[in-house]
Amino acid sequence: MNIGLVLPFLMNGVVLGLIFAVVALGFTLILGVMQVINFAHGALFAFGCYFAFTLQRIVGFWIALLIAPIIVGVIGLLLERLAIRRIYGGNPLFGLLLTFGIAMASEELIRMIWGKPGHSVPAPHFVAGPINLGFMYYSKYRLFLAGLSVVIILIVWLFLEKTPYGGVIKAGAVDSEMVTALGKNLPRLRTFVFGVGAALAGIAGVVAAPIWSVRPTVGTAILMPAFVIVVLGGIGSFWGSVIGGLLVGISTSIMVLFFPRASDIVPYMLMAVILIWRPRGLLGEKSILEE
Amino acid sequence: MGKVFNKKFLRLTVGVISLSLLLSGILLTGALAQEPLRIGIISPASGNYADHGLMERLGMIMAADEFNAKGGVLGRKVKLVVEDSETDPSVASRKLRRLVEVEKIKFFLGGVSSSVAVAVGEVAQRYGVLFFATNQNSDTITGKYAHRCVFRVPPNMAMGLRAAGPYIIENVGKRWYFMTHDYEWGWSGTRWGRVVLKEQGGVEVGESLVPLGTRDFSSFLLKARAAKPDALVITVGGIDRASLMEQIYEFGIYRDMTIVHTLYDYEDIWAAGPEKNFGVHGIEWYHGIDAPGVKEFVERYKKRWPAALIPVPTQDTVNGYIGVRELLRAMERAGATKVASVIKALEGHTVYDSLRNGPTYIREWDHQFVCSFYIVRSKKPEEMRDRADFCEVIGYGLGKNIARTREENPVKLEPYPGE
Repeated sequence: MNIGLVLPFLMNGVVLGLIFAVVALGFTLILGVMQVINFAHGALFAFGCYFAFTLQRIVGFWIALLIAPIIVGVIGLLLERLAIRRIYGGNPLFGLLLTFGIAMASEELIRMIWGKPGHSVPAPHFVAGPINLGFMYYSKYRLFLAGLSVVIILIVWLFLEKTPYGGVIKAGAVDSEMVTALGKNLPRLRTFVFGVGAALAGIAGVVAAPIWSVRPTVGTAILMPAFVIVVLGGIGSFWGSVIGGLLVGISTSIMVLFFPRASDIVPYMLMAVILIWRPRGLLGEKSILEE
Repeated sequence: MGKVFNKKFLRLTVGVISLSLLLSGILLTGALAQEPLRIGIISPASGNYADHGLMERLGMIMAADEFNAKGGVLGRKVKLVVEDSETDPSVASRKLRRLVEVEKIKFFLGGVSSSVAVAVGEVAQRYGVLFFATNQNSDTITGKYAHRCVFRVPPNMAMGLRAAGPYIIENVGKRWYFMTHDYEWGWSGTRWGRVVLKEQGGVEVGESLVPLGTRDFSSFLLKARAAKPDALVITVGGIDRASLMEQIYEFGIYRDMTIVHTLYDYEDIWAAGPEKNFGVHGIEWYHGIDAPGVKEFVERYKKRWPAALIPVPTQDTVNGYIGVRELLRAMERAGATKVASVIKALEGHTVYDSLRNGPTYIREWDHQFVCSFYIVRSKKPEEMRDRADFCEVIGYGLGKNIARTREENPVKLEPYPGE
């Protein structure tokens, strides 16, 4: 077992982990600020994938990268205003059922619009094909993807840390009721956060489409790992999602090296171990969900 | 009392009743004669093999239409009743049961996925209805899971590896790494790959089991590269295969070894595109083979389906076509639509207009359509003469030379249904 063998797996794991992190970030913000377990998050990711698939062929990669998340964000805003806000403060089970229903309906909608069979999405030309790193060939697109994900995560971090509104969201992610007590407009905050969360899922979908290809079930495949990452990273925690995402991505990838059939259960195993050690997740704080 | 039921009334009543009976009798026989011959198609319209399902249905419809243009079968028009198997064995079995119990259909074709075919075949045997597996290649369907009520149209993996294997050993190399789709069909391909490898003195340097629905093959490909094989022997299908082909290109795997698909499916090559097409492969049928009747068939397809997903017929189309055609011909030979009679008319029959090199023999002891299997080389994009010209045909194995012998495949079929 030499480093030459393990290194590409590590790199794959990092790439996977970064995509997971972006999806989980959106999920954790929504969960923290609104106490809604957004089971439609996977569907929003799927919409990102499919919009990328369609738009890339019309306006090219970069414009699709810009437009698709905005469209998904708008879908998120609409969902929040029309449906999600009706279940605030109620039984959390309602949120689960509602978003689950939205997820199922979205999957069917995708089937109706884009058809049942899957499609392969080509990587943009400037990053298609292999790159010679000297000691091995690796995928150009995945390196590009890793870089892009880091930029996205950085932008989210800057927004949360360095802008006043970001500060309000961070506070809201831990204790949304206190935020109201401080005079902030909570309903608008929630709508905005849902839109941002959706846009994050959407942009993850756009960048992941070329390596995972699109099919109607792509949303359900990303949902459970995202949920698990949010739990093991700590609900509402930015770094929890990022570190959790990387942890899950790398372990899953390394597991394929040794025992491929078990690679799908790695997130759950990790979650179990971490929760036993730290019940609130790695970086979780006492949040409103505990009441 | 006598006043009402007098002779005149009685005569009138009897007359009306007899006339009604006569009329209903005429109408009923008229209706029966015109009642279409319904054939069930259990084919995927969703899931991993959705586009394969579509291509096979196009061929099936062509065959049914040809018969209907001549007046149908035994005086009845042929009607295809289609259900989506969703590439899921339990869904397919449930739909078959419904079509048998509720719609009273006795003849079925389809499947695509080998797991679906195994499940459906078992249900068909239990009900005593006939099932043609039109596009599955696991050897078990005419082996371990063979049934009296099941026939299989395409060649199986044993035939495929017997035809292509020796060529690969001689022209590509002896060190093989297997990529196995982790279900019935994948196991079948790798199983026979191992048999042929041993027979030809090659060596297995590793295997990766790839779950159905895998999106990211990078880990499996990196593992394969580390083993330094001559040939990457792939038995992975459907949309998973298209992703695999993408990623082989993405990671430059084709530079380090020769890509070999044990059963190259045109639908998957089409989905992946010319830039991702590498290597030397086994293939059931290709629209460019030099065999009698093929050019005409391709023209008929193009005329019938000008706006189809794929501009040429694929192996799935041909199998669907031949499946329906031979089933209907067998009914005509039997002169009946009783399942046992049709089975007997199929067993031992030779198809001369097989659309392949050499005739196709419907073997009576395992119900395998024994036919030729082809070897092709992937063309580079600049070599392609048109947008459908992905491969160059290198050769083929004749059915009787590559099919399993009785010793290799000791199959015992059940008694005929209803006997």
